[in-house]
Amino acid sequence: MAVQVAPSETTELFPCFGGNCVVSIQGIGPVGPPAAAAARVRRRLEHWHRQFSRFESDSELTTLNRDPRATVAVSPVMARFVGAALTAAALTGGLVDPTLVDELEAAGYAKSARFRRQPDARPLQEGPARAPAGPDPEARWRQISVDIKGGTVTRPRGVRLDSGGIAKGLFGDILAPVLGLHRAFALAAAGDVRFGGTAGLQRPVEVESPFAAEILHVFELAGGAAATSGISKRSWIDEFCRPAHHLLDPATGRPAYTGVVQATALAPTGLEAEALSKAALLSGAQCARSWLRHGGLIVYDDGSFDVVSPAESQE
Amino acid sequence: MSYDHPNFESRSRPSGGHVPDSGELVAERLRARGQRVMLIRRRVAATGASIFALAWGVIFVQLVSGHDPALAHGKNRASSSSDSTGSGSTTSQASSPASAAPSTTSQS
Repeated sequence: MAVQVAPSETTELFPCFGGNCVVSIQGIGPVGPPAAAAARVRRRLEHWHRQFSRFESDSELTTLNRDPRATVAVSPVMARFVGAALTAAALTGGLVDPTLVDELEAAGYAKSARFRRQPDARPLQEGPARAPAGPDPEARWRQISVDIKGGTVTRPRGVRLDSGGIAKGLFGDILAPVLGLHRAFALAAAGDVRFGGTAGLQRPVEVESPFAAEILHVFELAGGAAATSGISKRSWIDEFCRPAHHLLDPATGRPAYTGVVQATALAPTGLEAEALSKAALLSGAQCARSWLRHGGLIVYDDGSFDVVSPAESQE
Repeated sequence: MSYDHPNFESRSRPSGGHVPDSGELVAERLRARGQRVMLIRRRVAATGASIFALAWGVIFVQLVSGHDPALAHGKNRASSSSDSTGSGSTTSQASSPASAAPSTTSQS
């Protein structure tokens, strides 16, 4: 990923959330000058990465998932994450389900790894017949509750949570009110982008192709969020020699092959963008467009793609 | 610095015809001198603080409006890029503040 640096913009690039994060800031804000603010954002994101990693044995998320008690005291940001995960599940009718940790591990996603990027669309053709995903009939996420003020999470024993992309969207939303007091900012957290600023500058938001290092489309936006979900990057061959990836169909617990390889959603918040992009991918080629109410882009597994412009989505 | 000011002489001379001795005159002159020194110090301190605050105000407004002179120093540099294989790099560049760099959304 090449980082383009804007005039008078301070940019910090660092590895985080299993990918790369880029913080770009213009102008002084409440945290200080751009370089100081970017450094502080970096420290905050790295802290959250350690706190929310499913792959770290001493992270707060792992500790919560391991805790045998039904109700567990959690940190304020963990409480917010659980609330955000339940919001995403409700918003998408259970398509975005945060309780699929057992299924993810069964599919072979048990540890953090650098995944080999698929060079083209051909490996996807080895996947099963295309079908839209659906919600889990059990809807375990409905049995989870969170008391954000009291700082507790209550869930049935054995139900574990995955931070996934929802956490990245939430982190952008938590930081945006402060970063938004700078002249301009953009926070790209491993593919999820949150941007804005007091100057209202139009920022080009590029959508990367799932098949090659090229840009499929550029949106010009002054503020908000963009998230991209896809099945071609974190993909692997499982122990039964089947192609697999990390976006599961909640109804079957297996990797979803819906005919959509990648979906990008624009939205006012990072949480909504993340939920809508996943829902668009999981709902399949016929329904994906209906989820992109603020605009976005859909890439199908034959390599073609559709752009849903923000104006078009509001008609 | 002279202390033989006519007004001082008239002020320091008592109306009852009492002629102050040399000790009283010295004390009076020292007191007046102290007052003047204090006044000068206060004026210098107030002027310095005002200049300092004004300078900070100018710099603050300039930076908030996106015209960072330190960044503008690199105005002629070409657009820079850094590769994601590098970990923890920081890049700054400056010229016109009227644009924002592209951000890329991609699969994580």
